[in-house]
Amino acid sequence: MKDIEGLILRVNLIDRTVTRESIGPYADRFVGGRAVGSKILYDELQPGVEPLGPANVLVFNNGPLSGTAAPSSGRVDVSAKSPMNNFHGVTNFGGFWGAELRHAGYGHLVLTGASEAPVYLFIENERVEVRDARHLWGLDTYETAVRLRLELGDQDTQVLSIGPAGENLVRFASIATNLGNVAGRTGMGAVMGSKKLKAVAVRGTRGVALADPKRFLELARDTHRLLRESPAFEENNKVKPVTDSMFNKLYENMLAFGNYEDGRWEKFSRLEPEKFFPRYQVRRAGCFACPMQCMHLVDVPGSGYGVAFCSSFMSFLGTVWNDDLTAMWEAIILANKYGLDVIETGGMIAFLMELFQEGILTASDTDGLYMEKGSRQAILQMIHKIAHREGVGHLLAEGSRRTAEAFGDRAIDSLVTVKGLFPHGYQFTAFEGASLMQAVGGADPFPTYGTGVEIRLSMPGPKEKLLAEAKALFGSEEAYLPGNYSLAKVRMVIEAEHRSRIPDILGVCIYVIDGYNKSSTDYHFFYDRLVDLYQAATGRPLTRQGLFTAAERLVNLERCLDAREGLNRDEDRLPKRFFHSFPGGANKDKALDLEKMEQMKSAYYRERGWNVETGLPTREKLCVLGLADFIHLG
Amino acid sequence: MSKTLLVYPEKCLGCRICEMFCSLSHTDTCNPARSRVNIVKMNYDVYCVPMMCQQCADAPCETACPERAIHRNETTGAMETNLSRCIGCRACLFACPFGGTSFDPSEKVVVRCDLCEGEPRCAEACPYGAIVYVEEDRQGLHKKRETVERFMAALEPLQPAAK
Repeated sequence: MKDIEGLILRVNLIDRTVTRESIGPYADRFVGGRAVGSKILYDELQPGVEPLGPANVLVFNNGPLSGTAAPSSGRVDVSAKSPMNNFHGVTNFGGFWGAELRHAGYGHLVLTGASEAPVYLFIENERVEVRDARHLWGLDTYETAVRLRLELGDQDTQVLSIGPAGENLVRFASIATNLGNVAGRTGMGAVMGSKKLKAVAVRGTRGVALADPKRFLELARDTHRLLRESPAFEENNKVKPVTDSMFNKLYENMLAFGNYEDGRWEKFSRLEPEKFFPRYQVRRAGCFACPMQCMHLVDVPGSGYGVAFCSSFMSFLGTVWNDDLTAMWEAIILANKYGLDVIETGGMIAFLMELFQEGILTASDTDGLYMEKGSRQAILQMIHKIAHREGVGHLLAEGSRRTAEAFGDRAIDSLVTVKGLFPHGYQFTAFEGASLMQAVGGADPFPTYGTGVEIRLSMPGPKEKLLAEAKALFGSEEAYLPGNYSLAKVRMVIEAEHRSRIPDILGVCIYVIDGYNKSSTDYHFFYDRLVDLYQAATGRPLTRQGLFTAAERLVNLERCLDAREGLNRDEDRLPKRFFHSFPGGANKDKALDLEKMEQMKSAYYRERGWNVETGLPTREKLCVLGLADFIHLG
Repeated sequence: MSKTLLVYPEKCLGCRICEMFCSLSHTDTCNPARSRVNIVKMNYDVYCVPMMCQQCADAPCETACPERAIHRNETTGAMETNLSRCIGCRACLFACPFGGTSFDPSEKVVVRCDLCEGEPRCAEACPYGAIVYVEEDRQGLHKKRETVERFMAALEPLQPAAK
């Protein structure tokens, strides 16, 4: 059963050496995926290094189920030290690149050092080559994929690349696939750019061997059948899914608009997605081996084609006060082609728009551009300026914190960031559990499960199933209900953190598991199924308890990783605006209470077995988790 | 009456689940390169078409085979290769007008869709009905019916109401 999860492929971009290593030694403690990637970062990333220097380590993590018939086995985690906050950055993307890498024989790709001249990495099964990319430098992410496929003479090659933003070391640059599946958050594209690595082109025909293929086939068949028969599948495939979910009027009660300025936007209900999507949507789209094709492949003449989902839509609608869906689409495509994180870019533009409205900056600060709320010109030109570091874009490319500092105290006062990142656009003021997850975690990845239940319970609709679940799992309905800071809610947050780490460890998708669980009354079932799939795939023993312990180990390991970079309780703070109520919206009378939130944080650290003063894992806790080798940080 | 696979390219979303189940059930591995069905993506991956053996009535592969190793399974209707006779010359690959026959690099033999002995895994697994398994004599009707369903709204004013 040697190397059944695929090898760890290491490429040193200084001397171009390539080495391969078995995942075996990592599997017992860390299982796979993001946990193995974080362990690699812990071992190989020296504390205090410059994120955009050659000492940073960039890791792409498949999981043990990647590239198999297991549903949604096309997700990849990307990690490195983040240029946005100096902590470990992590972001997850889908599409077809990860499965191709796995079919070439690799579970992980570890990139160290930096090249002097632009290069791209070519991987075709055993063949791994660092190649000249001077002719690709300057191309956008779409052009790069098209050009490389033509050059390589193979349309089935999967290409991942950075655009001008990554090349120009914009701190929130992304890495994109050919169709717009993007590793968006925490600036991983800038790290790739700092290594002068333009693209990774992969072709794999070796496939995935399985420890027990007959059993795996039966389990995978049954799991696909369960998903197809679940209400989540039907919901996903409604004729107008976008109009029914993202733009549903009910969602107006949970979204935050602009730079977290309001919980209400009168134009929101006047958006006309039912005119836009039928006209421009080519088809639904999604990732490798996934029955829940949750994205939309849209092609607007003049703007371009690509796939997108909710955070892209929101970032260039409500966040920037834009009610023109064609302008939204143009902005999404532009950001993906230039290789910019849509959430951070939308947040940055919203921030500038607020400063402009408040008179803190004028058009002369933004190269003559009037940053009026909702202005199509302002949105599109600012995306261009940031990606190319043109004019004021040179400052904005450094991120919102540095931008605010340049514009003075009033600007700093309006800054909304969680550990340096613009958070997703939810009304966190009304959701204590979701806010705790933001505080102790970060703005990404978005912990859907814990946050989702509070938000759903604040909207009309049946609540019985969720409340029964809250009671059964956490001893009180308070765990899921918004409006309290209870211990049950703290426990729910911890459980939700573990649940959201599990798909990242296995190489599958959180939305698929979450979608199934939403309609199931057996909350353990799907995790047991994942354990069965893991065993049939790898032949390694694992229990559900073991999988959740691996998730807890990962939370602790990443905490230790960040502790080396100076993380402590103080850094687990929320933006000021979460403690002030919005002027409008369904939750306008609600705001977080600072003192109660601090008490909730203490309860969280205590429940986790961490030091309440420092917010860091204790020696005892690390020993219990079998992480004694991380103790010097405790 | 034998059944056959019917493909609706416009329903295919390109997820490649069919490739996974095909290769897993035929080769015990998850490997698109060894799958009998392949999703061909065109126009920057915007359009996707599942491609496999068409099980031709007058099959060029059968004629091309110098060892007469290819014959029709009368029960399932699938064109099958007698591997003990196959010499791996790939003449059938050249003869196939669709690329429906492919070469398995691991086993060094030609492979094509065998309709999984009457229970095609690809059709079972496709979540969006892009590959369906239908009676051979009804495949035209199948598509006609789907087409009329799409046009129902347009046709409705012309029809007497069903009571």
